[in-house]
Amino acid sequence: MSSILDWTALELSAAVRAGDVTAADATDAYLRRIQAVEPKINAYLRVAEDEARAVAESVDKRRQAGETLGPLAGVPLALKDIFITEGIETTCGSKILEGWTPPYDGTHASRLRGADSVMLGKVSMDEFAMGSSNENSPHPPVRNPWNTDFVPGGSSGGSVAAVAARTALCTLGTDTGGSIRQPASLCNVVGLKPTYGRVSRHGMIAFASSLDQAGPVTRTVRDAALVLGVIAGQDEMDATTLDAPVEDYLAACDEGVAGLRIGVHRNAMELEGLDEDVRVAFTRSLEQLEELGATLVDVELPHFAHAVATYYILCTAEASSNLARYDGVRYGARVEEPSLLKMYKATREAGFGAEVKRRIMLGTFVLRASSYEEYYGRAMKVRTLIKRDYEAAFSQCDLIASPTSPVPGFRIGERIADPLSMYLSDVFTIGANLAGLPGISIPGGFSSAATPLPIGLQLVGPRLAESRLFSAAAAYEAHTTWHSRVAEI
Amino acid sequence: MATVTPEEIRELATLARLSLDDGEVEQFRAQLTDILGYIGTLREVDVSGVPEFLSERQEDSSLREDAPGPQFSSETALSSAPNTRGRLVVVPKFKED
Repeated sequence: MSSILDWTALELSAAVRAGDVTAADATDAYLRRIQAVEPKINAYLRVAEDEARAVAESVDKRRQAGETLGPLAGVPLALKDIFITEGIETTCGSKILEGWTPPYDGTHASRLRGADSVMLGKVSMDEFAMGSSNENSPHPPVRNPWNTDFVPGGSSGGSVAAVAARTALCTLGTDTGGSIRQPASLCNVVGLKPTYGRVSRHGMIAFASSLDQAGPVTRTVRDAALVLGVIAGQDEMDATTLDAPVEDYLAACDEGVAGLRIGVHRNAMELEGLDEDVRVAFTRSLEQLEELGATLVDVELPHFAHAVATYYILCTAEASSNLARYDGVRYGARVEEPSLLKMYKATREAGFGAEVKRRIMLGTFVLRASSYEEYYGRAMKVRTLIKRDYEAAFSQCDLIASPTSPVPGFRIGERIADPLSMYLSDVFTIGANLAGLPGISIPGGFSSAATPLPIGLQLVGPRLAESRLFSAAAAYEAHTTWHSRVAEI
Repeated sequence: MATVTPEEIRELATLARLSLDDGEVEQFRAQLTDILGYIGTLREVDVSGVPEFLSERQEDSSLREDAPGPQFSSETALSSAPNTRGRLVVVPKFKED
């Protein structure tokens, strides 16, 4: 029998608007699911049960009063703890913000609320979104619902685990170097990183401001299109948002992939450390796209091999500046000391975890006057070259396909002592952030392990080509069944 | 690639307002040496004549009108601060003994 938990956001919101089901019933179903499986997954940092029930009731009352409800009517969702939520503690996964209850909603929380969704709570993440495994956290590690000995990916690990475990119908994540797409790949869900500036960054705690972008994590491509339609668009609170019109992304999902030229960067397939199962799944995905009428085109991205190094210079430089604000003065935790300098140091020492300190240190190093030109200045020039590589590639193709992650997944604890190996898990995703381009990861296969792990397919498009991404991704999804597999917990 | 020294790590920590214990100094020294070796591979790239990256928005950025909008009361704005007195944020003395 079909349960309310099986419905997509499109189906559920339509049913709530039609009065076939109440937002309160949907919310209850998800709250019960959270109670049942959350102890095995650790996706949530806090469940806002009372607030969720109150919002659901008010949505139902407004429907009964004859009001027209929004596009996410009654949809139970969760936000990565990087998003600022009025009256609900927001810590960005860090001890340094423990106890901070923001006095306002960010653009994401307020637009989702305005669309009549029901926020269930805040989900776990790598501290300040720095990580690829969700292990950089003062909280218990989030577990991959497909195999709980494995990481869910990161930094939006809680966002993807909640959707895969069906403890939220959709979530928002953030993606600075792959933090939506890589975990989406590891947990068999859809994750979209929009074009830089497509979605506001107001109320999204900053990590690396020139790269950070918020996006949806969902079970289906159409649900991602639905959520993007709500959160996208210009915002006077973020001067980097683009004034381009928000397209009808749902309509784009019906356009198909026939006639599109899909670029394949063959050299990337020679990458050391590319898992054989990932290679096989990707090759089969390409064949399926061809069966659907797409044409494959070989493209070159000459600076592909330099993207990870470029990224770790730029993101750490920006992080070291952005995180200077956590000093025990204006918000969050403070360790009292007799002098200001000692208080800063003691507060930051106690409040930040190892990876955050490592990145602040690296960022401080690359911005030092004596190393600025050699590292930061050079990386900003290589970033230009990477952007030009994509522009040249998109003169020959409409989208670029690749695996999302070089491996199906890794065990909790396996890479935590070796930061560099962790950084290399973002090798396929970082380019889109550096060039400011949209990218989507969709379910694209499973590994051959005894307990199979999901494998994602990534599509990257030109600037503001979200509609085209949705067209191709929805066509692939309709032609395959990977997305309909559900993790047994 | 030059190795990073413990002294450099301590100097960086001071600049970054972090106080590291000896174990952390050694751990970061080893890891930063490793990471800097990797990111040093960018030296292989010919960047002569290449401008630094600008995002699309920066290329056409302009100032918006300076119009007053809604704002927090000072009580609300100060509600997040760990230590306040009246409308002031309390901090320890800034001069070292």
